[in-house]
Amino acid sequence: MINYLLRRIGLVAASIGALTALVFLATNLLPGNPAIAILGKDAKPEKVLIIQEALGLNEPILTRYVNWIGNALQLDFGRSVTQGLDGFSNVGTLGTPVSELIISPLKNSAILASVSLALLIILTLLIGTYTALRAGSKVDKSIQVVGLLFIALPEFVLGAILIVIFCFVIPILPAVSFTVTPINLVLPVTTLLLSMIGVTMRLVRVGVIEVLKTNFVITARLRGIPERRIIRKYLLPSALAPTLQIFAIAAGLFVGGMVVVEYLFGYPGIGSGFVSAVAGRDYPLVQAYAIILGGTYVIANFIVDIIIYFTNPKLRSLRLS
Amino acid sequence: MNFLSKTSISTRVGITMVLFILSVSIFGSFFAPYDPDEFIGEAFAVPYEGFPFGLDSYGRDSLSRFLVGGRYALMISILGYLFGAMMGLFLGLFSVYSRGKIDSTLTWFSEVLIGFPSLVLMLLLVAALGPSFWVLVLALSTVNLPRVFRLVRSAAQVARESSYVEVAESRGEGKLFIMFREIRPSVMPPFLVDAGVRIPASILLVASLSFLGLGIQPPASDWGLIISENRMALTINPLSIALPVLSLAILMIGINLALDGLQEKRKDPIKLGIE
Repeated sequence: MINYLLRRIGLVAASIGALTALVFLATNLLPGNPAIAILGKDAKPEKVLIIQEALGLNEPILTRYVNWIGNALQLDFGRSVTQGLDGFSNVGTLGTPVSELIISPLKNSAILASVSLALLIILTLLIGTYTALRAGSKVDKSIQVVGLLFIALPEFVLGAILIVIFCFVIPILPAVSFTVTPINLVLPVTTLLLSMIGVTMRLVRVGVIEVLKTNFVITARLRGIPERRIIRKYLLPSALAPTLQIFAIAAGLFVGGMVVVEYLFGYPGIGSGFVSAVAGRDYPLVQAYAIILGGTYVIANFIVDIIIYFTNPKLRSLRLS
Repeated sequence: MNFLSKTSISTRVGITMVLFILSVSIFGSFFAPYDPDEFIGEAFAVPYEGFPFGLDSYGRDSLSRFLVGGRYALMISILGYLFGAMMGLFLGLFSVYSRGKIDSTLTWFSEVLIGFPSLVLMLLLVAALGPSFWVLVLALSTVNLPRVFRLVRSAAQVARESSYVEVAESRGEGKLFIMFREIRPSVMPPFLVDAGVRIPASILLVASLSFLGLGIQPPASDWGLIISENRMALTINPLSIALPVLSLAILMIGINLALDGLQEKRKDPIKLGIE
């Protein structure tokens, strides 16, 4: 068991190491000089030299990477090159530290993500199990059709439709969510939920149907154990592992969906922050956001794997490569 | 159209929907009543005579912008898929053929790339290289390549160990001959099913990037971009995004319907690719 854990942790460390290398390379092997990108094309050569010095661009790339990682480990991602600049008088100085800039977006995104995820898990389990128990019925079929609709639609199309319905046809909800209040969360959470649930409930349904076919459920039914008890004691525990696996797979979708949904509603989270950092070519911010988004995904997968390992005794005897 | 007669109704409906949207996106520009870049009147003007969908965020004709806005995204999606898939196919076969260190190195690289959420990886590449047609194609290929590679690699394993490959080797056939003539055929069925899932996913990614303002750049018109540009005024003139929203919806639902119908025919339905 310890072997498995160690190997898994090693893999996570390797993935995160590779991730940082990828982020660093992508933001450093750019055509053109970042200092000129910051200062504009007409920058004085002296200023360019100052900025290059400040950004450490004169060092060899490997040294820069090592320095950057060392600083990032101390949560120092450098300073923004677009935000917190002191107007025109100080063009060429560096802005607010990235670590300060990302705190409140991180908090906001954590709120959005945890509310959406909690609702998503509950609804997926409820609807997935319900449709599996009534597979083939009219209710099941219509839920599957609606689910397919949600899978097919991009998040921003779904969100735009919701905005038109709830802000124009029946104006009861705010169309933008510049601040984090319960009423402002309704539409972003709903959009995220609907764009994910089509996929997750389908997969849970398939998983539960598989369990329903197993001998122990059939035997339990033959023994006359009440249906409710079968669902609670037999069905849900064995459907848990595949369900968790589904959420691990869906985590990548979820991260992408968050970016789009936050941007659509103007929600002040890391997704919209990442997009505006990319648009403004604010590389220190881009690096920090990319690592947070990619790292969250890697770690989410890791946690799910560990939970599955502990909830499914069968896996413990398997040799995992 | 002989093969269509054997397919289910949902497949036929789906294919019709897809063909309809494809023809709108390809031929739409010939029917645009106004210059899509011309400033006509007040921004977000509600529909009036001659402008059935009103004006957009810059006071341009919504209908004309919609009609010319379907081309680039579809071209980028298809090119980005094709490049990525061809490279993935080649490297996958090469990796399985070579075995050993080459195989494990390539696999490791592909796992690292898959470890990145698709949209985040594309945004990162756009941040590095700036949004342009070929950068988007490259970014999309980078997303598709490792996923196709993984699929090809796992599908080709059995063929690599088969006796007919052994025979070909002892016959002294070349590397490429064995890769493409001997191993590739067994990879094709899953490869094609995967294409059916990955092409719509690619369209979705490109549309999302455009929506985020980091895909096709204004003043060029694009469906995702139209929705993005008008999103803050949906409560004033919601009709300005009606056509792109409907088209993207019809296109994606059409593709899914067609695939669903085709999959029902298969004995071993292949799982929905959702990464």
